[in-house]
Amino acid sequence: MTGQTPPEQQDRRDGGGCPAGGFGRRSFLQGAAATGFAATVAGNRSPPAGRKQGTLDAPAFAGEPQNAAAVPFYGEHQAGIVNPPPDQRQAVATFSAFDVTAASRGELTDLFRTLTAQAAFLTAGGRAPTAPPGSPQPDDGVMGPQVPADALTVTVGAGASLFDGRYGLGERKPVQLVTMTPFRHDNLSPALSDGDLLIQLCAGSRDTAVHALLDIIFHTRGAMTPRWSINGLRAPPRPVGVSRDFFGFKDGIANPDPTSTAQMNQWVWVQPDTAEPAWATGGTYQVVRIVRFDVQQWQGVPLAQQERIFGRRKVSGAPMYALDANASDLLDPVYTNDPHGLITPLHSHIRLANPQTPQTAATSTILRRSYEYQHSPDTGGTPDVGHAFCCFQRHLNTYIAMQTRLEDELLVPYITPRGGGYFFALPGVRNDRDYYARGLLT
Amino acid sequence: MHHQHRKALRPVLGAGTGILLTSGLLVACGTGPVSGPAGATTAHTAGGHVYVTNHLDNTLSVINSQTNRVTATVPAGTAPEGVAVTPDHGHVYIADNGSGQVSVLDTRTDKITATVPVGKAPSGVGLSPDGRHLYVANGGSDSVSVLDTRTNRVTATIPVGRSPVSVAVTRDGTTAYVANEGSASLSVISTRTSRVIRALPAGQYPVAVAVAPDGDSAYVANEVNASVSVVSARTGTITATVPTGQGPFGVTLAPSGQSAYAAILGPGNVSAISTRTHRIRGTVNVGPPQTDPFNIAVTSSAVYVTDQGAGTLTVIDPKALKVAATITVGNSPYGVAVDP
Repeated sequence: MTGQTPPEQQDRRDGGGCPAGGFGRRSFLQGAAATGFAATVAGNRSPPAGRKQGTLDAPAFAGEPQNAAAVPFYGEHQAGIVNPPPDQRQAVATFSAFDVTAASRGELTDLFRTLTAQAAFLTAGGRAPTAPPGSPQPDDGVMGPQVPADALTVTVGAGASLFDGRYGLGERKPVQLVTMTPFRHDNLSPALSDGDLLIQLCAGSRDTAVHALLDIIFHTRGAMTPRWSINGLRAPPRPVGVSRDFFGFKDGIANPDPTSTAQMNQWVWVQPDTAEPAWATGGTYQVVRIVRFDVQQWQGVPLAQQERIFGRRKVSGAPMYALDANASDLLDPVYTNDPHGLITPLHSHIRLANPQTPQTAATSTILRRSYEYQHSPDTGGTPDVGHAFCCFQRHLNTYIAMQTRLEDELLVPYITPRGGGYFFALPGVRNDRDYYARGLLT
Repeated sequence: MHHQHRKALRPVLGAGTGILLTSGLLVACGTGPVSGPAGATTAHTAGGHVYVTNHLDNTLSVINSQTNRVTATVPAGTAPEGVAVTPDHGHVYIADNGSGQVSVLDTRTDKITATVPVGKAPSGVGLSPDGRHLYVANGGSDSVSVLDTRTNRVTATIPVGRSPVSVAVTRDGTTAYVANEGSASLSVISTRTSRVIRALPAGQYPVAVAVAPDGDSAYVANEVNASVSVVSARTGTITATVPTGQGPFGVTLAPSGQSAYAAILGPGNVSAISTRTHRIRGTVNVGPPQTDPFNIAVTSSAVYVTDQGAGTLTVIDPKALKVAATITVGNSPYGVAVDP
């Protein structure tokens, strides 16, 4: 530990088109590698506030592959939750949890400022920052000289442990935020669970997500350390509609309408003047669950039984009343007239998730945004594939009530929840003078 | 339009039900929803109202059928489903699916005045034409309860097929048809004896039944095989199968008997089926996917359909076959009844 601090001028953002202008000292940055790039970065990157995003900062290089346009970074809410729809442009995701090692609240603030600066640049894309000859490189070059936006979103959430005594944030903890406790059939591994922060990276291409993760880890070293990570993919339509999970079923169909502000305010975004602390307005509770699928046992289950376990048709994704293989997966499952569960079994996955009863109506709507993972084979030689389940909701207790119902689902023998956690996805970064968690920290 | 104020003033129609009445329940007449002060009429008892149960918020919406406006939202029982209004407009019967009860609403006050235990998970209801008996399909206990509307007591519990969810009474009051979701069949009940006298075939998962004015042809919405079956009680066979699109959840006959209207949940359609040709003579789309048209009630001038997903009641002009109005009601509207 050298304790070296970068020179002040290297760390300043002078507002010349830079995010999070007026940076304080990033006191957690350690060692020579921390020096030398910040000023260069400041001169190169990122759109000024108010500039319409969607194009790259610098002229495209000849022959540059076409990547998806930038997803706006600044806003009332973070991107990567509602916008963009994951099926549209973001085929891959990485969920990475971190333990925060910042030594003080000031360092924690610096961490969030740094995260903000890196996220603002990475999501906008632009010319990769360079350093003077002989200096450490501020960008790893993985994306070449021009970092594509590639629809990258960086979504930051805080775990309950961030609100312990370390930073004096206990009074400001979102009221429902707790550390995940196991449900009845969970087999949670501490090595795959919880964390002070969760960073969800979604992008069009895997290298974009890898680059973003490595970039964030590099620039925040000393202030946080990786705890666990899971990579996921969102399959393209096979052949149409919502993508399939590794059980072959379409997943994430039943969502509130992300284009409806009223529905998002009702079910997803924390609202002002509620029991939640004021700073939390515009944020949302995020749940990640790493759920291993026993795909080999599953494949031994006849199709009709698989459909009864899920409560949907496998080929079409449509409700059980639709026999046509070409039926739309957008059709609503309605089983209010099926008291014995003869069409849609009472303990099928979708019916326990949303039983369509008055008693459960308040705890049946979440915004799903899941990905599929593959690690196989595991050390025992069996496939380790499954679901990086992710959802957002205004009340964490909504998810907990729903998942408690699902303890009795017919799918239980075929799945093993292994990790994940509960987080509070922070409100959005409003503009280039704002930064993640500013409301929490000030 | 009827302007009778009290069911007690009406002549008892149908010998069968009359016998049932006199055979044991006259003693309770005084406790039933009988006469109030002479002339104490309101707009309700004058008719012109549509009643909609809102399954997920435990309410009943009362709609003025002249203005198409909601005039009252009444707390009902738990998970209210099927609904029926008496011919004199005085009372509304609501099947409370969640609590195994029938709630009785007095339309003068828009208040629930009685709650009657029936079977488990009651769903569809059907009134005898004279309003004296309510037939309640207890989907959770595979039976039909017969409720005497003078006494508000259950006078018979009739075992039927598996998972009965809909019931319709013939216009002569002699017969009730019950759709057994889990048996692919109809049970035919003699209202005189309160027994099942025969079973008729239906399609896969029949979830709604309506009867033509002749009392012979039953129209059955088969939820899982995308069709409405026409079943003849006389021949005991399915005489026609009308393809409808995926997810027929409701079917009702027009007062004229010339059309049957079916609610097709998947495509969000209401289809008018000619009872003469057994072909669809017109289809109205009531909204995009997730509108979820569900149950239907029909008068000579309007077709009313509950939209479970949209939380609305669609009013269709049956002559033009066009949407005339869309009325916001409660959360997950289920049953609908209209003043006769």
